[in-house]
Amino acid sequence: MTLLEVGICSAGSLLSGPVLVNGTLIGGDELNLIECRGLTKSYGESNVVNGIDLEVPEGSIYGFLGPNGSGKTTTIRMILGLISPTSGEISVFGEEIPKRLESVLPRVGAVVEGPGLYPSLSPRRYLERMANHSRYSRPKDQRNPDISAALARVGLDKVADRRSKALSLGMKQRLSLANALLFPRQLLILDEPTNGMDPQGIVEMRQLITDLASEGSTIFISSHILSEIEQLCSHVAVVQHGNLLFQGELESLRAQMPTRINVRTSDNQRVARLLQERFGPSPTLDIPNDASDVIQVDPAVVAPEVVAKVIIDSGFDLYELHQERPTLEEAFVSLTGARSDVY
Amino acid sequence: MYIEELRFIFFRRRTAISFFVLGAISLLLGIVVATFGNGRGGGGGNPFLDQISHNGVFLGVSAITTAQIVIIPLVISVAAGEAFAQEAAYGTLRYLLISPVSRVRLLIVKALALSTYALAAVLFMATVGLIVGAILFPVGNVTTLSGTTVSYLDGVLRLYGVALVEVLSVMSIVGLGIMASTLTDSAIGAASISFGIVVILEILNNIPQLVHFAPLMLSNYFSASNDIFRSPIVYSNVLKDLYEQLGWMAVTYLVSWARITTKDITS
Repeated sequence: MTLLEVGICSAGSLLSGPVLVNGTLIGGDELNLIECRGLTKSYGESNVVNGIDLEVPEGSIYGFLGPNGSGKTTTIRMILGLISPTSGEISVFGEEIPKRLESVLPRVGAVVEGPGLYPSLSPRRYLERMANHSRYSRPKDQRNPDISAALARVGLDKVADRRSKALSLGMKQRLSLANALLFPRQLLILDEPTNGMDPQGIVEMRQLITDLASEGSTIFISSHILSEIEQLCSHVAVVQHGNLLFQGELESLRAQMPTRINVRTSDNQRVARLLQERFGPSPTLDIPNDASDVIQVDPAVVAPEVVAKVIIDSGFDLYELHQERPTLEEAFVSLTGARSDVY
Repeated sequence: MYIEELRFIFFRRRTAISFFVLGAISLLLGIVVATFGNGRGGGGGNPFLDQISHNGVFLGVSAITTAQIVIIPLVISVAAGEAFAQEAAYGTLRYLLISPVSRVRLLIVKALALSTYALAAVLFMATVGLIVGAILFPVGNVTTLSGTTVSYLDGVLRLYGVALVEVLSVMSIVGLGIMASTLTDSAIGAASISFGIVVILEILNNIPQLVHFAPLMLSNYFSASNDIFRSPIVYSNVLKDLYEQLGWMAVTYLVSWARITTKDITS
């Protein structure tokens, strides 16, 4: 390594390298493909998006969650340069948006707020038109994409020459996805991609997203269908009323939620009383009324193995003991409140 | 991109219908004149209508000069009004822009393609007129408005000259339609705005008190095409038409540019 290269490297690590905070290394060498700082969009008095900071790490499947009207789509439109922010900064691939849009967008595939199609054009012609119009934004060897392959990938090869208005909503959604996948993309931004799809389509979509992620694309997916996100995402952000309520790894969102131990024994009533005598009234969250019910114990107070030992040592039969993790849905509801405010 | 946009405009049913309508005007005019003759006091303000039965070449000319007040501006307003508004209504504008196409480039391509459409539409009308005229009426040497006689070929060339002056005269309507199209997400709304402006300017142009503003009115130099059939051809009004068109194009495209490059695409 020459002296010059050393200089460049150390300068680079100063800017983007790991930072030591309270003895913990954060940041590491992972790059944030999307970064937003204080992103705000107001219409008149109301802030549709209110000072959101987003960090989408490279290689993640990033779930962007929020109830209807929470500002998800507006945020996505700002990231794609369709709407200009009232204030705040956006960078994608480290390049400033909207200034560097033309260098950023060819590497980004997106589905924004459902499909947008020409009713009289076939899926094949639609993709052709999109490719033709964007041809000057790409290097010469990428100007003629394999349209048949893109259609086949989303399962539309059999209707490739049918008029778009004859397609079902699910098929239109797939066509929109084919458009996003027409070129090799580093980043895919998918806004409610499974809207209108049948269960079969949703399963296929999930598989497709997993495949794309394993091919190295970073995926930013917005949804309010939580079970879908839960099975896919490594990272999540939760927004409501334009405010960011949580951002981080899915695991750390779950870790914020109380877990519980569910216990089923030969005599739940007596075991519950026993546990209360031993550990005070707090651990047994719920004393069952009849034998078939489950006793819930707070693992923060009594460890599962201790519960098991106490029950068995006292001569009861232990049928079932498992620690239950909160679902994403429970975490989501506890963050956003049980009532969904749509306005 | 330009070719893609042309393909997009020409391979749709609306375009075929508009061409059919324009062609039908030449055809109908020919049939009416062939059936009923020139009629008494014929022609009114249109100096070519009387001439059709003498020479078929005047059919195309008459058709264009008849259609230039209403139907041609309407057809062009409808097509140009779709430019951005229809894409917005379909939801395809956002996908075009992120595909990506720069907003300025899209504006330029749409303007070029729609101007080409206007050119093709008027030339089509002239050609239908020429053919129908040659079938229904005698053809031969052409008497000009100045009374001189020129060859049939010269007459045909002058017919296309009239068509090109007409194309020039509607360039600003293309601009108007595109401008209106950047102001609304409704294609029919944009077409109405554009055509409405043309009609208002025509009305204002006919108010004597506003005669000093006449050079600003879009339709003021529509009759410049008559000068093509003088001998020798008089170009002064064509030139004034050109200046007027350039002025209107500058205004409408400037507004379109300002609007489309700053607009929030929420469709």
